Amino acid sequence: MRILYINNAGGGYADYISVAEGTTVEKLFAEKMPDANASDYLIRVNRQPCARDQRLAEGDRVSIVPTKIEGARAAA
Amino acid sequence: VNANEKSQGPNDTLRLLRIATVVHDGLLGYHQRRKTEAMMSLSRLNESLDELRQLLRRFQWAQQRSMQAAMTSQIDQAGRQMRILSCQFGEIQHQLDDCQQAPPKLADVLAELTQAEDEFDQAVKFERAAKTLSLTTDRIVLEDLDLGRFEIQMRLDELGRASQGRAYQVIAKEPNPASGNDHVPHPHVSHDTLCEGDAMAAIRSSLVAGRLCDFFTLVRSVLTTYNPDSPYVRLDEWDGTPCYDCGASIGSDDLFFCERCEHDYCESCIGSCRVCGTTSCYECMTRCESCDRMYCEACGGSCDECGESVCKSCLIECSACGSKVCDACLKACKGCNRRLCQSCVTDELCKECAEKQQPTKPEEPVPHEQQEQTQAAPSQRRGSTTGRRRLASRTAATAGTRRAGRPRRRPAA
Repeated sequence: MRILYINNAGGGYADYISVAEGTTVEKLFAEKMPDANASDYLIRVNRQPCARDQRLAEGDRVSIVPTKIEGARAAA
Repeated sequence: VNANEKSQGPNDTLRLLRIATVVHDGLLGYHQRRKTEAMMSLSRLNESLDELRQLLRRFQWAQQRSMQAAMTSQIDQAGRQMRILSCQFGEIQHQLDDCQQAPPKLADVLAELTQAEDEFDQAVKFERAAKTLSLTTDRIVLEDLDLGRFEIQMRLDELGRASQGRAYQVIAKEPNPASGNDHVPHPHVSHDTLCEGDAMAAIRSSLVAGRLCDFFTLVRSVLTTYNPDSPYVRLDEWDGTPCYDCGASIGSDDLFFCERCEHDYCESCIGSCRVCGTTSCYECMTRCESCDRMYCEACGGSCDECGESVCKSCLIECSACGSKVCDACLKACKGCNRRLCQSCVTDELCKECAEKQQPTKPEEPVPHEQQEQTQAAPSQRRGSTTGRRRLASRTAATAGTRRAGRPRRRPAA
């Protein structure tokens, strides 16, 4: 099945991706961001907060936004 | 529309729908402009290709006539033209990719606004005249320092300049700026502009795609994070003393005091006099024209020859006349190797050496008695320089007298 996946931790592009039936939010996160801690991200399914064991459905919109991002001083 | 309290109900939906319509129009306009820009870029690319074709024709014309220099010139120009084309291809590809991205639908914008209000737990603020859309963060506290709330203000008219970071502003609502810089209300905000750091690509992508909620939450994520490696002002220096010169906020341990103007400076804006070592700011010191190092007001002087301002260490006293001159105005006497001021050296000789080398003028004849005395007691003359000089003069005078007294004959032809 296909879902819309928006990962704002990288370039912030939205892509349609294929995932296996019954994939949970937790599993998708682990696959896409293996070194990251889910507590450092706002994860929304169809714009709503979700449980980690929520199963994804065809056409779902999953967005991941980091809650901690390092800013920087502009280059001189 | 300007409501900070979020409510539920038909009126609220209508309020959001009105805002979403304006935002949607703004996004459509932006996407339309992007398409127009892409078409203009394609037109410029076509012109560049025409220029390349023209170069090829010129090359063939020169080749038929075996004009080597002309052929080389055309190849050089073609190389430059290819580099231009390569840049244009990359730029246009990027623009066309953007154009393929469909603008968000009105329903999507409405959903984004609704979600953003949920995430921030407040109503969005929309200024119709200024075409700005704002949400305000909670109080931002970084390492126990309360920086107050920040309004994230998106400017719909400036979406086309998202890549330059001008599509939004971050405005401190209860400013608690760094003591050294009033324009820095947050370690990563200066003059209402956020330095996005790692969030740059994601923020810009969300803006042009109309993912408003992602945009606001990304900016908030940067504001709630402190990067100690690259702040405008470090948090541990937030309440420091501003450097009088550059304005940087400095902790008391890293402050330097200028003893002349009595102001505080950071390490970069302070120095010490090369002569007396007094700590002074650069405004209170002068650069020595001779050694190129800084000296304080008390340790300077000017060269008596050229008048340049130099430090005392670079002023050297002429051993002949006592004037103080810089290194550039010293000259070495070729006779005695002493370094003297330019006034005391003529034709590369000091006065004394010049006198020695001048042809001796005939002197008055030495009385006969004195000549006898000189010849009779040579040992009495030894030991004193003056005596040797006198002897030399006398000997030369005597020789001169002899030559005068006994002229040589002219050789026979």
